[in-house]
Amino acid sequence: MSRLTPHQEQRGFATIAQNNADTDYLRLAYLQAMSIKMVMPTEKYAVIVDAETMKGITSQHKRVFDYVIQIDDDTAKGEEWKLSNEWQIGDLTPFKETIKLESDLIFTRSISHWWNTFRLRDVVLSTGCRDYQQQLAASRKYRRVFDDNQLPDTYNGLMYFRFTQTAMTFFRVARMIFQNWETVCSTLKNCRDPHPTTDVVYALAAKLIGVELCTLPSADFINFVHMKPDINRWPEMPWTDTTIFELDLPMVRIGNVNQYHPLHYHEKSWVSDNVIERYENELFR
Amino acid sequence: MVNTGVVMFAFNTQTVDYVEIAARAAKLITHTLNLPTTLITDIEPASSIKSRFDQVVISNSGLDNRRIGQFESGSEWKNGNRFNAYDLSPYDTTILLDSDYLMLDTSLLTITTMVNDYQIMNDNRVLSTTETQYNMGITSLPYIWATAVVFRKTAKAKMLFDLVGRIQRNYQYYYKLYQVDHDNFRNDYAFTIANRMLNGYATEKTCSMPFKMLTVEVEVESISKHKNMLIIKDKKTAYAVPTQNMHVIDKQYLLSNDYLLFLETLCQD
Repeated sequence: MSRLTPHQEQRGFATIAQNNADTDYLRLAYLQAMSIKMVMPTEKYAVIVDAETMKGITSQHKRVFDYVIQIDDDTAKGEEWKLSNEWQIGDLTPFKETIKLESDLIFTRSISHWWNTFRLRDVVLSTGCRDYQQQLAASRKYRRVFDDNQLPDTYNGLMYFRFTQTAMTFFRVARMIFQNWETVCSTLKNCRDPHPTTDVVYALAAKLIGVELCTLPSADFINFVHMKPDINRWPEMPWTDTTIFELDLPMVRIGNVNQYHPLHYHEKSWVSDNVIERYENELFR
Repeated sequence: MVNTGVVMFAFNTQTVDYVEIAARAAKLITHTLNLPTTLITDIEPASSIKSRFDQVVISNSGLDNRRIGQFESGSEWKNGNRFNAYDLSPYDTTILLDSDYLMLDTSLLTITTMVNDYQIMNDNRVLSTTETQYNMGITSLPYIWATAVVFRKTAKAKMLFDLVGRIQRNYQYYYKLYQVDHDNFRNDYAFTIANRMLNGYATEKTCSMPFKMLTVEVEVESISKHKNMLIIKDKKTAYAVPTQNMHVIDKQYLLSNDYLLFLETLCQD
């Protein structure tokens, strides 16, 4: 078990942000960092970027990015949806303990007390998700490959790991799955993904190293609100066209319901200039 | 000694004698709960009606509305002014009821002894269906039932009724904000919206009754009591349920002689 760089902090939040033609993930990471600093001001935040995305880092970003780390070995070059670097988080995080997030997820209240629960395992993948009414979601529409292959109902949108043998094994297995996806996919039932998605890869990795080692099903609060339409029993269109939202920062209200759980807003266009400006005004005033 | 009683709003329309329905409900309330009853209505009732309540308060209906639903769709519906219940109730602790709510058990009496500022019927069970959750619109939120509300005269309860008033006055705004399917004012929706606002826009059932309401939506032929069971018959089916409070939608049945007979038999027990 080795790392190229020593850890810089005991614990913190991290995301991988690699811009592509459609989405400015750096902007999403910036919003995420602001939401974290707003409700958990003492927590540290690291953003991991490729060389191209690094060029977009500004002094304004650095007000909330405690660490900006460049991926040297970018395995997602040429990919439109750049997921295949996800396994590198284990090596690149500056923290001994990391809450790893997808960039399109924000916080409306502190989850600092979750660290105590996370420490019951070396790796914790969030299990299940919630609808905007904060109820555990029943929809399986987006999880057919999980059900068909009896994979754990895990989501990589929010996960915890600390620098341990288990975590490093987890990411090594994830790397193997990413790099051998064609073969792996051919062994799965109803696998139609030409490219690996992190949710499926991490669920497979969890199954291979032992679901009991990387989930905490009894801690049913470790999950987030997912704004994919069917989870909320809404028609297949962007949720921003289906319902309203209000910013009562740090609270976000969707469809007149306060989003107390971490919010995986999913719809990237939601992060408008106005939303960014509201967060900046609230955080930096 | 806390002064507890039951308040009902009843405004007659061209098709339904709500005051008579309320008077019949009052008889059942007196029999089952032994609590005083107050009628709030818009026209001074006849002395024969007045004598069936402990108090009658005259107040206007506040709103001209039309029904949307299974029964009497499109007919007149005077359902405004409910938000004034806080000010108009003569009691410290009030059970606010729809006149079509039949008091057949003492569960609401237990609620009056609890410490909450107010409690509203959160969950409903319809006699003839298995559906239990109702939303205000396809993309809206589940609603609660203003059919039965128990409240004490506290600041929070006052805020609830003030909010319901504000929502009624600005309903064209709120029904759009909450993506309600219909724009005709409904107390259930106004109480739902007010209750949500008052409880931090959260989904927790903090001010809910700890049991479900039973609603009878079918056209009722008869209701009878057999030992501890109620037998409710429509044209095709007989339903047997344990004796409990019921919300009966069929107003024509509540005005029928069959119901009057059931009531008199029950109150003789």
